[in-house]
Amino acid sequence: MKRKHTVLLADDDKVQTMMLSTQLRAKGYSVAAAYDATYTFMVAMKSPPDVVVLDIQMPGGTGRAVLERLKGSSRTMQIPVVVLSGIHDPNVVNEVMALGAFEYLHKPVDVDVLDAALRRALNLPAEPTATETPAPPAPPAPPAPPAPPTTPTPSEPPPAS
Amino acid sequence: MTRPTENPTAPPLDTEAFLRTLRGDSALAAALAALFLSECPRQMDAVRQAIAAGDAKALEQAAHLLRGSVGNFVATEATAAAARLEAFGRTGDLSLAAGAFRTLEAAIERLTPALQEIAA
Repeated sequence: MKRKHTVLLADDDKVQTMMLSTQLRAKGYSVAAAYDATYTFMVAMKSPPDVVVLDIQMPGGTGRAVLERLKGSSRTMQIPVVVLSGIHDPNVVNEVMALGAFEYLHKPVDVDVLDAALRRALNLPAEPTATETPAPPAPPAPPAPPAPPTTPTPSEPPPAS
Repeated sequence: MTRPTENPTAPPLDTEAFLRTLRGDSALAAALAALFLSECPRQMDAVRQAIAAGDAKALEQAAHLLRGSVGNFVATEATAAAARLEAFGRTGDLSLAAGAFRTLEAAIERLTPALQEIAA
């Protein structure tokens, strides 16, 4: 990753936020955190991130309201929002996707799963998997046995003198 | 006192699974455990106060946050206890909430020393 893509992590669970912030920074992202809905919207308006990871159940107004406001403002409407939630109700998933979320992930989330979603949201190529990792360079080949003496074939012209 | 749902032989958290999610980063594990231990009393107070006030919405919110926090540590017993309280809050029926809170307290009491060990 050449430029550090900025991620705004919006979640009132500080343990989750610290865990994901640390892990995403190790993957090359620049991460900011917000612990309530109002502050999330304020940060997004002040310094629009490349992508928002949003918990939809937060104090200070719900994450749904944040999503609606982000998608309703010309300054932030293009920012992809990956929703990260412990709510598994399919009605909630449908509602949030209809509001314009890019993707809906369930907690607890593995950082590689979140990274893959962020890469999709940012149109970045997927990180190579273990099977796609280029093979290490082959060891040097053993020296070739000495070539047998050659004799010019009749079709070959004689070497220039 | 042994409560019906308590299983003294089961570990309060799956340390191996927790460390796996952190790719074995024990320093991060220690920092997360310390952060949870400092946040937990406030989160438990919020659950307790919501039950005392009969405020179902506040209970749902507070128990949801606690469920997420303990879920990070793969603490199955505490997660289940918090999820039960969250469900009471969602449905608005708090008649069994006080008993469920005692179960949660017991689970947190068992979880705390394990997290103190990780945080040390």
